[in-house]
Amino acid sequence: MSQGQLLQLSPTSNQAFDYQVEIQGESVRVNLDGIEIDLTVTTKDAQEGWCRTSDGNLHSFFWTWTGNALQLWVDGDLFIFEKIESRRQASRDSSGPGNDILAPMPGRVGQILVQPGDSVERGLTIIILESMKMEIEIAAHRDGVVKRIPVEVGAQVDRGMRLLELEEQ
Amino acid sequence: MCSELFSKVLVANRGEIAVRVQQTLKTLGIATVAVYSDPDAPAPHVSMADEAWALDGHTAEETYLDIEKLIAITRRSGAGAIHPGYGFLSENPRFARACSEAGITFIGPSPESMEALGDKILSKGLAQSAGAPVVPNSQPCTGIDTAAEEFIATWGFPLLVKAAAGGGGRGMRLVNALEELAPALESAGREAEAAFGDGRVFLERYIPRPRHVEIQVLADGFGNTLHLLERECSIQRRYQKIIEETPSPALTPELRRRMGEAAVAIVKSAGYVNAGTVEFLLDSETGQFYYLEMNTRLQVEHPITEQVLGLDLVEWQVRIASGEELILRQDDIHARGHAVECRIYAEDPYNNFVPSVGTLVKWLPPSGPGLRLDSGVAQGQEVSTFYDPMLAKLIAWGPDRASSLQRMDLALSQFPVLGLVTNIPFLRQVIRRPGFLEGDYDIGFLTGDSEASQLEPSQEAQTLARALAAWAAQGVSGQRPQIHAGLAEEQSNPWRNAGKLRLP
Repeated sequence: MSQGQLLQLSPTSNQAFDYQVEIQGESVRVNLDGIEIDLTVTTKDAQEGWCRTSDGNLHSFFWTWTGNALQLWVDGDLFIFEKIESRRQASRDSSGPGNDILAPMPGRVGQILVQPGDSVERGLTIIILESMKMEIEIAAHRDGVVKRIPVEVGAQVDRGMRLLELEEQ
Repeated sequence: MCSELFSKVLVANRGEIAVRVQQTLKTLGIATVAVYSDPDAPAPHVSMADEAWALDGHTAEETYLDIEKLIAITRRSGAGAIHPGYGFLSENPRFARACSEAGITFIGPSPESMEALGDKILSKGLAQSAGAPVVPNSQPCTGIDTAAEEFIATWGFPLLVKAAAGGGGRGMRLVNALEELAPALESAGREAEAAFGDGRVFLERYIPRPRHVEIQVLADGFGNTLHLLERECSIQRRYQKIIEETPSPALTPELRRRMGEAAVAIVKSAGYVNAGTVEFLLDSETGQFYYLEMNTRLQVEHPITEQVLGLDLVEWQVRIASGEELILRQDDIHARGHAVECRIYAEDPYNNFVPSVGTLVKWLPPSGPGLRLDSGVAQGQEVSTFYDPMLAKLIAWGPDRASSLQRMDLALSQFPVLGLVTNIPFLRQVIRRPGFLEGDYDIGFLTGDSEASQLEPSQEAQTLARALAAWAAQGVSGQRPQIHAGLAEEQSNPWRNAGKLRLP
């Protein structure tokens, strides 16, 4: 018996849930926040398998890990989960709308429409990111005053990189 | 009449279209030359080519849009012709002209007819004189100038800002009020400049909720022009087609004939030679149609026409460019069954469709009766932000509309992709909507709906996924998931052990 906590990032974003798993060969019993599920899981290799649910139906699935992130394809849908380390749980639970505006995807900074000191309203486009020949408008996620813009026009940014910092509320 | 086909052709493109064009060239016994940017070095269009030349660079400007580099490589490789695919330089008259000046055949129309028809403003005048109805538009404008003011005074808002050189929704903006116009002109111009190397934009009257129906045409150098029926392309997101079908559920035989004849008249009056597509807006309530623009290249969605007609359009492009005469006549053109295409994009449908990048850890396309996949990627490949996010096109054919849609639905649910997020769940959800199944839709079908909320998998599917995630996570925290070839597997897959047998 082992247990842990997972965060579902997609399709339903940012929902954490607790699990307990008991694995005996192919028999798997999972307890998800109190709901018990019995599965027979057969793996073909380290990324592919199929499982039988208690109603007798077979489901084909594929999975891959990138660090703590798990991508799981089952019956035509793609799910993304993240394994939550216990020491990180506290900080994650308390995270509200922060001061940073992060790049949602990699790309090139096309335009910066605000300056430090500007007041911005939630929803205002502050930066235009160019990616795959499209212009992606990045909007402020809350009202605030621009503190710092750590990127400049033309810079290549990675997903999750800080584009703009707002003053502490 | 049969002339000599080329012995070697360079394909000046990447991705699925560079693969698809080479397939035809190879079947015709023509050697293929691929070109590639640095990130595309491991791409399928490179590995399948008879020879491949590096374009040295990352961005489109440094590589697939560099006319001088492409001409120089074509000369050194000894290829006699260039197939431009779609996008990039395919509708650039300067490129076609540079080819002919270098003694290379451009597989497509002449630079002159490209200029006349590829420019959306010039081509409308041409269509009007050929007797086709058109949507009113302004001359090109830079900011809110006289051309823009005159247009607004006559037609008002809402209106569309469009790129004169455009295509595929790039450089297009819907503008509802005057204060939105200046920023829209500016950003559309910038996007058009980046995508086509031509930042000119103009205004067009906005026709709410029409259907987008286009007619494929084919014309040889001997004055034979025919149309290859229609493609219905009204399922669009942000002006980008994502699902196309033929025949269109909206056309009567009479309307089909009239639109086909209008398309042929436009093409003939322009003296156009090779394959092309005439796009119309159709008001399905009145049956009134308007000429929109002509695309002087192969279309992304050409496979559905090929599937219902049993023709290879790239083959005819090559034959016409090498001087052959069409052996087909209009009376020979009859659709058999129905075909539908879904464009598979590296876009996250659950996160506002932002492009998704990464390594294609799994890419397992489905197969089965009536299915075709035109793909430009392979498992293990890195998908970068440098180019268009379209990975592949899935095409299903069936003897009738219901069966081709059923085949598509099944195929989309049998297409595992891991490593990046694709729009596959969204495509599947769209083709299951009652409005789509009834064929009752227009270009507004996907606007304004809360796409993500309708996408959620069922509660059952969520629970199963979470249970499997817990199982997989357990393998990471402690020991790896145990791998067994156990009882369930033997029951469900009797062929698994058959592979061990040796045939005499």
